[in-house]
Amino acid sequence: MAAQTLILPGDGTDFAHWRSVARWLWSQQVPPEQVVWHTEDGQREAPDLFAPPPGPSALAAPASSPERPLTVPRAWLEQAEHCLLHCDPDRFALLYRLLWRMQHEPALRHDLLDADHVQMQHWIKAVRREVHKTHAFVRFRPVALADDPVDGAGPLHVAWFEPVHHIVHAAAPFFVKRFANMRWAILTPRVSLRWWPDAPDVAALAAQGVEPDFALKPFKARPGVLSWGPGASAEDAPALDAGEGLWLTYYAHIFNPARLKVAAMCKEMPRKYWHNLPETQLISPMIQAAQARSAAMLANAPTTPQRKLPQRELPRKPAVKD
Amino acid sequence: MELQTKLAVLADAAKYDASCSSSGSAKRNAVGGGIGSTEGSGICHSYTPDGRCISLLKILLTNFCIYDCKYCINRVSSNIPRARFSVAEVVDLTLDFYRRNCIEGLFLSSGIIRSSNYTMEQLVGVARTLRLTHGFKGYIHLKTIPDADPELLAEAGLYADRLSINIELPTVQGLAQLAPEKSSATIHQAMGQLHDHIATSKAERKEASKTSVVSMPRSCRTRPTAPKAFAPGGQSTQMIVGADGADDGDIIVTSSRLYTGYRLRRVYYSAFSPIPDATAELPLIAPPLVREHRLYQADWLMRFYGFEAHEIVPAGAQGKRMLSLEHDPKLAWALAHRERFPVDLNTAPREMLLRVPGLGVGSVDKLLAVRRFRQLRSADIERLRVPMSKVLPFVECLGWSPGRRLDDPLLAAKLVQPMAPPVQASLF
Ligand code: SF4
Repeated sequence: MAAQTLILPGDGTDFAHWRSVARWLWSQQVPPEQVVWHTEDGQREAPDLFAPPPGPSALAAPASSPERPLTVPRAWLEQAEHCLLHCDPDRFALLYRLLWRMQHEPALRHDLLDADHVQMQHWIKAVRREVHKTHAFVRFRPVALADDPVDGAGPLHVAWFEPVHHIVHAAAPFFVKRFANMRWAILTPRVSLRWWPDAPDVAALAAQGVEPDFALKPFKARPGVLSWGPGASAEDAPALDAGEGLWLTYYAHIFNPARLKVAAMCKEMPRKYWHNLPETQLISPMIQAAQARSAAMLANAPTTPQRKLPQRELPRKPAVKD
Repeated sequence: MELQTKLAVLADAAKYDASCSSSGSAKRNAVGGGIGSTEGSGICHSYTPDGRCISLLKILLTNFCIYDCKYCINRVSSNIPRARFSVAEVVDLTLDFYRRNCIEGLFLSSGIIRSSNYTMEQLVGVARTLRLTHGFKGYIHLKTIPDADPELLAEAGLYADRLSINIELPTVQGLAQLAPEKSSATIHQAMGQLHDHIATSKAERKEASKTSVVSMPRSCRTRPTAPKAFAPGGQSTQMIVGADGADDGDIIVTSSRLYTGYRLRRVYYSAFSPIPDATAELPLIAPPLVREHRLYQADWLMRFYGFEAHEIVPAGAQGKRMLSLEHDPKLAWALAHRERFPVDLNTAPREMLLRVPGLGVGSVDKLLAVRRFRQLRSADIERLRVPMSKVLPFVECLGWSPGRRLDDPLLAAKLVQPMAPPVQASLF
């Protein structure tokens, strides 16, 4: 069997598509080491000269093929979908290899410590972690939009975020649920999304080039719409405002200078996210001043109370057994 | 006073409190109206250079206080600047930070002003306004005043996800010495009341979810509305470490009693931190931060690893029972019980696997899942991505046996972590 070069549409994260391609490869019995995987986006950035041009024929999976049974645990499919959101270009190959091996080694599906499984779990964990960090580090700033209808929903809250993996879609439901009544938008380099708390005119939206993607199941009760648009840049997001000044004040003052643990901080708040978190600009001055501040605390203590202590009866202490 | 200044003063006053978590509550969201959600597990929205997370807006309503607890920066005799928020100011700040996605909610505490009841009224007022006026679904943690009216405590539980009462010091003597106006009995009594409320509400809700009302044959079964949850995130407490003479043994035993007696969700340990304007009665030197860290590890062993307090309390006379600073408590236990090792990864029961230094609950579950289908080999230990030097001397499996390592008198010395443990910034 000749080697197969495949180009997946867009960023390759469309799981249904990947699944049909994998199914076809299996039906043709193409062994994993003979498949070369590319994505349309990847080809645009760094083309592989030997890959076929990404025309519609190369993108779509050949439809008619003899069916050959292919079985995997249902849970594995869910995991694979998550794994596909990782940015590593080798993920397509790994997943197909696992699929292939699971057909030949039935015990493999239970083997959480197999090297390929461990790699897959590692990527899934990175994806989950970034979804979580997105929930944590997306920061909205309110902007009053002139062209927004005045309907009491308040200003539009806009955030700029730069994820490493393809997690924007996976992270979106969290924001819909949390800020269901608020108008908000999250801009990222590859995609931007916007939540309309009260269903806008969908046809008009489509005319403006946004793809409305009706929020599904859990939000059925809501009239709101989540729409997807093209990527944006940092300049499209609003700049720091007064309210965020309060946040910086809080950040500076909740820090206890007598307890520096910089490594612990960096572990949980990786530096790659720092440039979009306003408070991180305070970190280095805070660390530098910490030593002097704790020394000053000691130098100043103790002082004599200036306020007059109220003369009060102490509460009677009941006998305690302990 | 300007809002910015107040925030500075009242965040400053709150930073010595160790509790931070916003996890463990009921799941809620704003799809039906209002604003906010809780996910069950908390989200840390930022971290400060002291390594602690910011998950909640943690502030004091006021740092004026009529009490004089020696370890506390807000005590009446300290000369720090004072400020006081209005209820509306706290509500607005919380909502604004929340909409910016900077926080999961509010952790509100307060110095005692006028009277315990008056202060508690104010705290409850903030939570009530957030919940009822603004439909706030985020997390609310209230610090309750132990001797406030039980009715206020009951109301607080309707709005708050978590309530806490600080035990303050591990021993009754410590409390009497350093917090003369507080009474250990009152604190325990309030914890007991909270425990009863929480347990009753849980039982009632469970009952309500089981019974269904059938009004007509073949009609839809309807459920009676479940009674409102009371502090669904449970109760927690904080203990100050190193301000009095209590040793680690006292602390662990006290914690274990609190866990079993009042079903506390968490006990937080706060290494006594030299505070600005400390009283002359306190040690100026802080206990090493690693002590606090070890206590958290010991606590973890009791909550998730099936250890009993008496197994963790180090040997020694009372007052001298200190956890090892060099080894974590699980490793220290294993080193002291070498006769129980090596543990065979292929045959040992879960309880024993959990006692292997370096193996966490996740790793143990993986091992158990895999060994149902095949034998575990030495390469599998590597794939767990666990600290090898810590694990290897204590386990055996296909292709690995620790040989005579367990008899090595230098084993303990070899297992001292080379990486510097977290230390308090040098103060001199
Ligand atoms: S009652 Fe609370 S705020 Fe007041 S001095 Fe004691 S610990 Fe500090």
